[in-house]
Amino acid sequence: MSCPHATTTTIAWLYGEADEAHALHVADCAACTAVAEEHEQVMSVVVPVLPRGKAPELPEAPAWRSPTWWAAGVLLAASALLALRIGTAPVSVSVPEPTSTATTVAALEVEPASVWSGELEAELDDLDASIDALAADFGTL
Amino acid sequence: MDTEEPLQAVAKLDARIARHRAEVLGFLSRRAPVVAEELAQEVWLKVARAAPECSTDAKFRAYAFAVARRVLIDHHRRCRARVQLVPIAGGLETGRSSDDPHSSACAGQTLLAVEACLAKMPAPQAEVFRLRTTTELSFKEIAARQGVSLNTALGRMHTATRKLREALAAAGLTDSTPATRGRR
Repeated sequence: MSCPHATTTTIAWLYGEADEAHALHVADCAACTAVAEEHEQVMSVVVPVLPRGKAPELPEAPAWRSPTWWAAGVLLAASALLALRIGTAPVSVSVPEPTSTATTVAALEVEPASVWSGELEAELDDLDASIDALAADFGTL
Repeated sequence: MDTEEPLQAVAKLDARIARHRAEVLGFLSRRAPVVAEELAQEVWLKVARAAPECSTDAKFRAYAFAVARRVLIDHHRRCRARVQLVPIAGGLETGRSSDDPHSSACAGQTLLAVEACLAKMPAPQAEVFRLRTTTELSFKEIAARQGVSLNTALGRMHTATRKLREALAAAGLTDSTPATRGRR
């Protein structure tokens, strides 16, 4: 005595969530009728004593869990990783093959600090100069 | 000829309803005596609207009883709103309008048995039962909340109901024998 509807459609039908036409199947199926009887029996005893409940509210997802924040976080993490990689990994600088000799140099390992330090120092010097100029302007005011 | 056929069908349905009217009313009276007439009207209205094509009278009878059971479940769930349980020192009591001490004690005993049984079940199973019987959430909504398929939620409801029936029968609160179909 088993029916695939006994634990699915018949349950939904008993609670008004399936097509009314399913009643015809229930009437004709011993397994589904037994399920209907079981539910009616339990509901008649249990439901009157159970306190009326309120559907628990789903906790509102915090702002940091929204897709935008996730995207921003991932982007930030990717940037940080990239920056870290640039700061620590050796930079490969390819050297053009010399025409005069037959020997070739595929790549020259150069410490990154030495590549960037010159530019950074130049920019820092420019900034110092700007600050000095601004300070002089304030002094005259 | 075209108009005769529907008329014959209506007359046939009418005759079948008349044949089983008393029986269905008796069934409903045993379960909900105060509103049995009202519920019987609801049952026949549903039957008349559906106008089921039942080849035999026995099938029609089974159909009418299936609809009656559904109407009863609806009724029990509607009744829930009229009863309020009030916790008191030494036990639980229902705030029924009758304030009958015996029915209050029975309700308290039933509630304790129900709660004990629900506590023993796996949490998702008990949750489906609670949400479907005490709130307005549909199975689809409950399934979405639990992150499972609709069939899983329906299966959980079925298992929870079966366990409750066994627990209530063990506590002597319902008939322990399997409900009979009453087919002729």
